[in-house]
Amino acid sequence: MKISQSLEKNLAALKKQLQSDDLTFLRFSVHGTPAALIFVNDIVNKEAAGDLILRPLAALKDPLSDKVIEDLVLSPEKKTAKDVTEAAQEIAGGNVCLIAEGLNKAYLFGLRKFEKRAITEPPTSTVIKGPREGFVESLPVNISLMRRRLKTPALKFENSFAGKYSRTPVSICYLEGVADMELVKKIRVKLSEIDIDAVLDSSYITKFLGEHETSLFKQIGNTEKPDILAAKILEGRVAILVDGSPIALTVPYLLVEDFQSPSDYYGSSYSAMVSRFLRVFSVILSIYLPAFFVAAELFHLQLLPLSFLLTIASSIKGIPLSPSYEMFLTLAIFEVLNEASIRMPRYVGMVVSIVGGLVLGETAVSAGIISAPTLMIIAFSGICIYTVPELEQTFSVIRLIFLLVGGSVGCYGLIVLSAGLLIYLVSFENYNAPLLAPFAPLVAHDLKDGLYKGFFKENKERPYSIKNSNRFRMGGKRRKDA
Amino acid sequence: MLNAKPLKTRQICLMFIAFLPVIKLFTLPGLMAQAAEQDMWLSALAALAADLLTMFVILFTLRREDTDFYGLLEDNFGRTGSLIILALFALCFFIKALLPVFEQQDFVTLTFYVTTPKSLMFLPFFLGAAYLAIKPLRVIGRCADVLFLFTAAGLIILAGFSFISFDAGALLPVCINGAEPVLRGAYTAAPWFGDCMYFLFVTGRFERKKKDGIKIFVSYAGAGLAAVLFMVIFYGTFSSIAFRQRFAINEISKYSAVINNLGRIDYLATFLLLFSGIVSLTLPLYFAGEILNRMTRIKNLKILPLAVCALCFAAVLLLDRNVYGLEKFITRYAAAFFILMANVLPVFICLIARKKGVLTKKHGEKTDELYQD
Repeated sequence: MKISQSLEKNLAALKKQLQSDDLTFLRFSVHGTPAALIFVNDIVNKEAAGDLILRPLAALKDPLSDKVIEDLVLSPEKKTAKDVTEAAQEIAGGNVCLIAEGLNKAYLFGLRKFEKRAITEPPTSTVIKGPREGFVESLPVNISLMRRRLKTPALKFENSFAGKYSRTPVSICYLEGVADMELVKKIRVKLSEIDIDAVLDSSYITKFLGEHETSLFKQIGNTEKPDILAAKILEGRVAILVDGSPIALTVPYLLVEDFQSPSDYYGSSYSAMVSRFLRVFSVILSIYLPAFFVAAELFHLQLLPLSFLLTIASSIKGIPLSPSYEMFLTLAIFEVLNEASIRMPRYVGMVVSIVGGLVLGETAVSAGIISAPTLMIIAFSGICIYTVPELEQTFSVIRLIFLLVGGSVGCYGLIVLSAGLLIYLVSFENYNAPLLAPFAPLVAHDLKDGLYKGFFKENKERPYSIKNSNRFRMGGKRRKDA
Repeated sequence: MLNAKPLKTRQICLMFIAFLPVIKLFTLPGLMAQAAEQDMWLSALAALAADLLTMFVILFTLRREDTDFYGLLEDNFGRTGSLIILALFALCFFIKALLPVFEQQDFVTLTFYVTTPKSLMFLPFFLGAAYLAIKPLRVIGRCADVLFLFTAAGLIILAGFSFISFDAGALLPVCINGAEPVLRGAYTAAPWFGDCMYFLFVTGRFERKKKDGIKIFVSYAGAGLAAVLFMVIFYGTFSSIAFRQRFAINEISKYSAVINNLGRIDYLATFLLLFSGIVSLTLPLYFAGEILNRMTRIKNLKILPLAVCALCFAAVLLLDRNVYGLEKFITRYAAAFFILMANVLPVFICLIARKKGVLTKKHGEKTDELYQD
């Protein structure tokens, strides 16, 4: 329905659409012309509304007209709506709406005032040295954090909404002249195609951006830190910021990203290199160790040194379960403890750690239900997996599958499964970026920031694994307009 | 990031390094020791020399060729002629896959498991092979990017373990019984060598720059020499009882003092090689499936490769009790067919193509459009 010149008709139509107790319909008159301000009580900066809208109108000497409103009301965010539904949506979104008798449009002023969390260090990526700021749930704050780091007109934000009911503001962020515009276009299309009731977190968006719906592996990168996001954007990636989520998404995603830590870039290259190798080694251990141990116990005893074999033999003596069941049971206990420790209140967390980790483990071993090597392997595997926390869920599932295969087919099964996994991973692409790049396909240039961490000045060019419009980021051939 | 051509020269080189030596390390050394005794390494060298000659001819004659092998065949031999040749290659690839699959089956059963049913154990392998068979060619190139490290590491570790027990004197005197055992050994090895066939089917499907031919040739030679070196160490370790060692890969390092103290940690190297070996074993099945796809011009590119894998699995189950008979048949009689297909026919085709002059690129491009890599 179009906004008519009758205030009463417009108010009735708006009231019909916005039947809610938290709405205010503030009637007043300007020089005898009836008008009304409509807004949602708790999400509007009323002080600003009074100062910027009501006070100038109260002081008005001329009759109310479009020109007067445009000239007098100095709200920095101002737009109009000619449709009642559109106006109702804007009001629900936190805008202040001004309608008046004789005007056939509604004026909308962006005077939102949402409660927001303070900027803190994100718990998922803490650093010893380096910036500690993290994104918060407010999109404008997150945009400001990005603007603070990249003070260039080339940094672009393209805003849109997602979610039929939530109408969540979503912003595509990229560096013009660096990002591949084809990719930006593709993301724009994908976002516009999202048809869902609500987008409550950026993870909702990942389901629509990913090109492989059923994949176990991550397809979209994410970060909670503006410095990391700035670095990714500078490499030619495109980011998606979602209001209500402190996690920014990045596209395209390479698996190696999650093995890189912010501290790698703020510290020495040597220690970064050691840390990266350690992370990869830990992940391999966490996946293979339980499965390999079970396979060795069940099928390939000759793999174990005699002294170690004797130790194991003495420790498993009297254990009622087979090696694979025993490992499964221990892994299941570990996963339960893990799940509980994440969700339970912090003040009982310590108790559960002690009861679960020490009492339960120690008692289970001394009661002869599980053996000490099994407990040690699961504990070590559990710790190792957290060296790459971003991929913990994926690796946990893979560990379980490997354990299943190791316990039923042995090492040969593990090798076949590994080969299958490799084939799957090397054929996996998202937005034309191979997941395993720069290792498969081998991109020699990008190995400088793969497992090996090259020295700062070695990385003169942006990664080849990601398509970008400007290859150089250091030195003479950099684009002047960037 | 992605190129129009599915492979890069580097990937071809790494494919040779990753996949070619592994297949030759299971039963072949024992069989060659039986045929040529201490001259077995010369037999391997002779087989490699024949392959290198074929590679040289292919690389030289097709150095400016942008058409893939399918297009090249059609241009030179017409549709019918190319179909016959492709059918022969498909058959050759299928048989080439059979023997190593049986080898692997025997190896895994005898080394690791004695009681597990073979059908159950090899189902995962064939599922993996079927999974790879329906993937585009670039996936094999990418696998090679990773797996060459595994092959290299496995070979170095095994060589390191076995080098202590290696006795060079066992290889002497050279050619004491004349050239006949050497040639017999080379003939026996034909089904395991002749990997230039793979290269034939990737010509025109990678970005070839100047001097890339040399890189490819050198990597092929390097991969072949790694296998020859393995055989040298093998015979130097076991001497006159080498022919009794059914699986060289498993036996070669068993006399190492390290293993006596730490257990069979050489199996870890074996696992690394087996990892590459699994992908390597699926290569002939992959190309057999691809050839059938191109021959029939079928729209669903998954059916025939899957059928090839299923057929191979069925053959494994059916011929399970006659493995030694099959091995004897292939090494004694079918070896000539392999020499024909891997060494004679490719040279013949390349020379014909060369004689006819520069080929039209129409066929190659048309085929590529149909079968996007």
